[in-house]
Amino acid sequence: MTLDEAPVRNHRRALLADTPWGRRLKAAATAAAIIATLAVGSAITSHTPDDDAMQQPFIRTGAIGSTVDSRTFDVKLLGVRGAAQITQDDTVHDTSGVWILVRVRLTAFRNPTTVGYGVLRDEHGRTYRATARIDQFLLSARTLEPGIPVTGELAFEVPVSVATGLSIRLGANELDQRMDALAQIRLPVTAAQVRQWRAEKTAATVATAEANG
Amino acid sequence: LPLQWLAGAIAVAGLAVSACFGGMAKAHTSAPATIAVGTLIKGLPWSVTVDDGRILQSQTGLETEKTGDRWLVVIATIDVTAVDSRSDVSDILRLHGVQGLLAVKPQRILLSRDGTDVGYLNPGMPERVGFCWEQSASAPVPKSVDVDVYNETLRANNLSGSVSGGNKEWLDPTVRATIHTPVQDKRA
Repeated sequence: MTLDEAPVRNHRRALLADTPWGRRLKAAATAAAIIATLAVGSAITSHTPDDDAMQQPFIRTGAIGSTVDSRTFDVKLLGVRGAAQITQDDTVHDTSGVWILVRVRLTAFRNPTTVGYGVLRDEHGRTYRATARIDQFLLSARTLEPGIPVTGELAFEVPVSVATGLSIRLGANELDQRMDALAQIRLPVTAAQVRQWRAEKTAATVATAEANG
Repeated sequence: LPLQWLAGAIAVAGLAVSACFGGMAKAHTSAPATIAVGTLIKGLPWSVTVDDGRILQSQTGLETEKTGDRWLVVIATIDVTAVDSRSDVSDILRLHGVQGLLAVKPQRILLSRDGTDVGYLNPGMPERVGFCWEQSASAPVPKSVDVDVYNETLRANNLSGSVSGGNKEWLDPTVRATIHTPVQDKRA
């Protein structure tokens, strides 16, 4: 384009804008631009991960016997057992599902810390908190001192149908796990074990916490 | 007149555009239903069946705050339908039209299974639960009570949530149904 052509083009635009059809065309183009902007904005927000997705906890996984780092403490899964009933302080507690007793060793790293969050997670993403029907010796109430391992059991009750697909998740903060590290370890439980646990008539005693320093 | 037509046209166009982005979506405005005792009320984050009501006297392990008061207990089966264990069990039921209650929320919530206080209820594990309100000795003993069953909605908080819809919380407690529940006097 030469410098001489530019005024001619601008003149044609001005002529078009001055006509009734030109004004209608301009208004329609403006409306279309607004609607397109709204549509693009809506598409972006509907396809962008929301804060719940972006602030997911950092899951650190491991297997039975391995040590899993959970930022302020580490976890070692020592074993799993189950029962139809558990007992504590001479009181027996039954369940509509099955009790899962998870034996773990917890060790704080540099500072005294507590383990506030303890759940079992099934294959559908449902989570089951450590039961509040008995005293839990490893959660919240127990302060872990740095370098001193503490061993004990955590008790959970879950529906029988999910008992073979569970993982334990442990973290420091009871209320807010966003962007925190969580240790996750799959529980090796078979359907035969669950049937056996459900049939057991004797109530299992939940092990207390012991320091192993 | 042309200005009125123009305003009307703009309003209609605005509605049409908002409809493209969900502005005409159906709102939940149904009034709470009155439902018979024993009927399952499906909802979120829990489904509820109110089973019965009873009057109990103060007893070991379930002592009233004031001597001579009594307990008004509503027995209900709670099935958590959310994906995580719920600790907000005290938000499920409310009574209305009962004189002499010491608190709006139930003061004790006990598991029927073993009498322990309810800390959490787990998803997919329905439990029969006793919701206990202390009633003043001077108030008349009710023959029946109206029990409101509440549900909630999982959504981002307008103040603390994010624009993208994250950080969802269970909010907007809404009466889903009212159950006219007979009360049996079970004091010895």
